[in-house]
Amino acid sequence: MTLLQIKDLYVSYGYIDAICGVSMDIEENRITAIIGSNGAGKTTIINAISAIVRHKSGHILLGSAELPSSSNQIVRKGVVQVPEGRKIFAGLSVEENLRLGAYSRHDKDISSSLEAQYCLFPILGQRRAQDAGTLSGGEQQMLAISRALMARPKLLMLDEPSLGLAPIIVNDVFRIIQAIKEQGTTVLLVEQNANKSLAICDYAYVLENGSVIKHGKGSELLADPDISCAYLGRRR
Amino acid sequence: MWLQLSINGICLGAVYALIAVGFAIVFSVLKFSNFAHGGMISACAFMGYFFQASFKKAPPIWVTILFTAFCGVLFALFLDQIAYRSIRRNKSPNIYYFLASLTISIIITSILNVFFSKNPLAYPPLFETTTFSIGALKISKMDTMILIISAALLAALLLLINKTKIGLAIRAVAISPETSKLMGINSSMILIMIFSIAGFLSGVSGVLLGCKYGVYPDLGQTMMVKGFIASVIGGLGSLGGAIAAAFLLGLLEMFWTYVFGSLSTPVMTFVVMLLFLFIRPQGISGKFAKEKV
Repeated sequence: MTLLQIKDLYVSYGYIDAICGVSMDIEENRITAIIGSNGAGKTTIINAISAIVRHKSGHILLGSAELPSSSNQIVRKGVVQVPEGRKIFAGLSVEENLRLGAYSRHDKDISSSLEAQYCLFPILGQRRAQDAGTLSGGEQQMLAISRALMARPKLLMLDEPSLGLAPIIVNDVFRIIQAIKEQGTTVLLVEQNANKSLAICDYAYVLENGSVIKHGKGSELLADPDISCAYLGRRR
Repeated sequence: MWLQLSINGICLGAVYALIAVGFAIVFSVLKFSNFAHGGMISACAFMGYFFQASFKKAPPIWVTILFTAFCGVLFALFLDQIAYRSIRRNKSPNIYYFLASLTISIIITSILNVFFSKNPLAYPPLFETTTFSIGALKISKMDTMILIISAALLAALLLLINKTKIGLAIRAVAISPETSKLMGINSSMILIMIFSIAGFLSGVSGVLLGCKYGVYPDLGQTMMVKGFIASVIGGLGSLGGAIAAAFLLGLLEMFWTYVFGSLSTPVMTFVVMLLFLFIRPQGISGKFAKEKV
């Protein structure tokens, strides 16, 4: 089942076209990855889905309905982004950050969701009263992911979750992404770390200069000589 | 005598606190000093005065305060529409906000100056006797009323900001409007709410100041300077700091006036602000400088 469908998407910044006619299907309960080099337009796609940037033409459909045009309503539809660079609220406590993640929810279950997150990320439980700005980079990434999960997303979009983290923590992050999928959340992963993302994803799109140049199953792309040469650092 | 002065100082501080908080709440979210606040206070003081005067038998003061606060909210939303909205939409630099707010304040005051003289209009007296005494202490009934209303309002505001879901959203928007949207927060609604709160505060302070000092066009601007100083000393954008600084300023002013006379008091307040900017630019709360990348 396709959860989110992107049809012929065009996005431009002023006169510069960032995304030129991208189409994608994001399958339910799968990890879909978008890989590509700097400036390929990966973040722009995620921001277009979240309506942080406006798309010039094309459609973004959740199920069969077009996504709303304002960012906050998109979150209410269950499409939630973990932004690049984590963007946690420094100055607020860890728990307040998590509560903000649940802002779009109107049920009374928020404290049980908090406990569930503290189970998944014990370090956040230990630091629940601490200023989130004082956490380490890895902890902040955990918090950003956890904050997004508090919204109970249908589709979780992660933008460069491994950026600027120590290798050992990068492994943790990818393990967590798999765990999130196994709990039944659809994941859209945008990464420069092509090797690791292709290894955990079910399907992947390779983006270059705003267009999809290749797509296929993660394992197929891993074996593809062109891809491994351009993005995985292997010699021909 | 010192006790008497302290009491008077605290009452004066309560007035400053209301103004300072109106400043601080806008600064915390939009990062500019909303000088239009002064003009709004003047305008609201006049609205309250004419509302009060339009009845044969003056309505109770709380009716006037509520009415004026409501007018203040509408007025603030109107100003937001005509002045700030386009700045926000074009994502213009903060200096535009600053200039717009200063201009609005001057326009309002000038318009009021055209229609009304500089002679203060007096609200009808609220109390038959102006003071009551506890032992040797003489306490102004008016000041007591102002103190109680301010304290209640400030407490309600702090509760709203620190304990409710909306308050958390306000604090989030203050840190980053963009990221707040990703949490499902309607950032523009929050901004409108901030202006409404500031408008409400200006309405209440307009009536209270009008009762205390009389109503004249420059009322708001004169008092706004004190509120501005308090919010700078408190650490721009911090509500708790602004309140603490306002009371500090009120007390200082009372004692200074008693010892050195009232002529040099304005000098003293600005010197205190300068000292704070030299020694502790982040203000009493120290929150201002704490911005992390």
